Amino acid sequence: MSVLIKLAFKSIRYRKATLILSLISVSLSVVLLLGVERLRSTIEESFTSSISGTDLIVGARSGNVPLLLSSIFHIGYPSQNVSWETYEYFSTRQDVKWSIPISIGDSHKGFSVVGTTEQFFEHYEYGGKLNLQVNRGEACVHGYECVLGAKAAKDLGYTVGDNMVVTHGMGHDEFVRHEDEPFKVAGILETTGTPVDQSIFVSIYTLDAIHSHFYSNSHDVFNDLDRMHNHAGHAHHHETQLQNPKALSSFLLGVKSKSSLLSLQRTINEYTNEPLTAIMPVITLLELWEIVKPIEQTLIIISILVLIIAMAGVFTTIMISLSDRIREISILRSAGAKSQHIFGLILLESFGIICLGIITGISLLYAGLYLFKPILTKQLGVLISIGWFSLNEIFLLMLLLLLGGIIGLIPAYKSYKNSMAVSLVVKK
Amino acid sequence: MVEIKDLSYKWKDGDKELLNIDYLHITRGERVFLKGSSGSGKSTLLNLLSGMIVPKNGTIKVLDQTINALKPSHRDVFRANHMGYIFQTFNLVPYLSVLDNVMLPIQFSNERLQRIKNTGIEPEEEAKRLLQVVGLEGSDLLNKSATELSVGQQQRVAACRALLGSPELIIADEPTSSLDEDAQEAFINLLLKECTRKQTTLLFVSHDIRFTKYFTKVIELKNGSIKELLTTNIGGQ
Ligand SMILES: Nc1ncnc2c1ncn2[C@@H]1O[C@H](COP(=O)(O)OP(=O)(O)O)[C@@H](O)[C@H]1O
Ligand SMILES: [Mg+2]
Repeated sequence: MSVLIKLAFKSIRYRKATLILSLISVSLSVVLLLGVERLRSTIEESFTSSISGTDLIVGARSGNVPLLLSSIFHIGYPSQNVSWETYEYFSTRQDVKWSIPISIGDSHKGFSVVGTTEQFFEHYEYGGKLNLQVNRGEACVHGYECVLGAKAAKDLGYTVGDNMVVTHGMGHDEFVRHEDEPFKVAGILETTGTPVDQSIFVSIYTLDAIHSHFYSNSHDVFNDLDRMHNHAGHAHHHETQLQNPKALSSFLLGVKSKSSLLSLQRTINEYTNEPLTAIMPVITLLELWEIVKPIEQTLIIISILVLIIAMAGVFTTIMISLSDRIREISILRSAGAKSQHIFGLILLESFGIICLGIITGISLLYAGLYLFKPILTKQLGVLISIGWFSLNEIFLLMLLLLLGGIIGLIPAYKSYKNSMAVSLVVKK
Repeated sequence: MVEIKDLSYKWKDGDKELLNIDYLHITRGERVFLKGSSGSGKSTLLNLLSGMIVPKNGTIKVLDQTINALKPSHRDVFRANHMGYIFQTFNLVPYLSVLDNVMLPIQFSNERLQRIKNTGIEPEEEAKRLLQVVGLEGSDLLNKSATELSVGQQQRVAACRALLGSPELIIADEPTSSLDEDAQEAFINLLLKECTRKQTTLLFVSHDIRFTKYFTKVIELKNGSIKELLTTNIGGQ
């Protein structure tokens, strides 16, 4: 056996020019396949784990997915609000354990501003029942205090104690600045890998007060600007006269007992005072993921195709070299190598190249992950895990090895047959 | 040493018989010169003797073993243990060094390895000794890749490989035809010298009848059968 390994090693070295090409194509396709798989699973995970522990999300009547997107992912915002009375009605029901009001639609330098209460930090869960953790300061959204998600804090360069200003409307368009209502950063949250990281949390009461201040019935932007200057001196004194908001975008509910969940959902959906939609986030997340699935499957299929092409490349290289090697095989046979030796030699070589390609591919992938992790986190907001292989990845690697084995077996068997039949007649 | 009886062979069914040998006997230690025109079936006969191919009819005995009755894997082992083979050209594995090429047989045959060890010499020393006999020495040369040698040098390396571990039978299939005249003479002399030293039986194929004088037996393959042209009694069985 050690003879064969030595021979195979030397033979591979001898043919390195062609084999390196095979090696590169195999390793690149491994990088692609595993990379796509890792990206996919990371996205799926950060996606499906962005909310847990919440039993129902309630908003004005709309589709399930839009409600989930607006309330949790802050993508788009609902055209209708829910009245505060409705919120109070449901949050004080017997079977409801806790509730979190949510008001969205404001932004600050591209980060969404979420109006809520401290309930949010107490009851919001993500991943496998993880609570939000405070990194610095405290999770306090009273009055003009706000709490920043990890990425928002980092990108905006705010620390605890800094003053900031909120913009109305999504995106960077700072059309109307609430200049006279400066917020103070009370706390910064730990990274979660969920949309929470990119959010700024303020008191829903304060947010409503600002809105009513600017968007009263006689709303006039120029007037606002005037008033902003007049109010400049006493901006911090609103908090004492805060009233309940008139409306909110949506609210999250936790129930006391799961058995009441379905009937509560039905009750909310059939509420006659106001058209409402209640969704179970777990189910809607899956619905949403189903929409994204064809894309991920296409990616996987493409990388598998690339892999097959690479393997086919290795296969043809070995098969072609085989006809050049009939002489080498008869030399080995004449020197005492058995047919099985020839079989083993060719198998070792082709399998060896594929294994080497896989190992190189994995190393390249990890090097790439370490190199690009900061960029990926920054640009896409996804936290790629550079951990050990996932079950899926191990399955893919097994599949690769199996494929490699099969691809190695064919030329090995062919040369075995050949060397059984090939005479020692050396063709001129 | 070698005994062939009632052998007939054809490559394909439907062909006419390429070989039709009633009887051939080679005594241990004999040096046999086999001649015959191109295409007469000399190489085919050598393949039969080495057990690379098997006949449908007849028996081939080597060292009292009927090799055409052995299982393929046993034939492989038998060949590895008892035969050394030299081709006309391209005898060497291109990715092995000169020394590794010579050492190749003892990688596959324990018996040949043991034979060297029994003489109290290290296998590598024995390989170097053989190489030195044929005029190849110096670690520079021995570590060279086989492809960097001249054709003449390559043939000498092949002879060393065939001889290493003293197999009882050396089969040389036109080993000199790619060499120039001076080299041919020198090559045959070296081969014969080592064979004599170890009482090795040599079956040497060539159509250059100038060399018949060095051999104890000269046979010709013609129309599929063997004709003995000369036999010198060397004693033996
Ligand atoms: N592997 C093979 N398969 C089929 N026919 C072969 C094979 N080897 C040799 N032959 C045929 O057998 C005949 C004898 O060839 P060979 O034994 O090489 O003759 P020589 O060595 O005397 O020149 C030739 O006609 C050749 O075509
Ligand atoms: Mg021939």
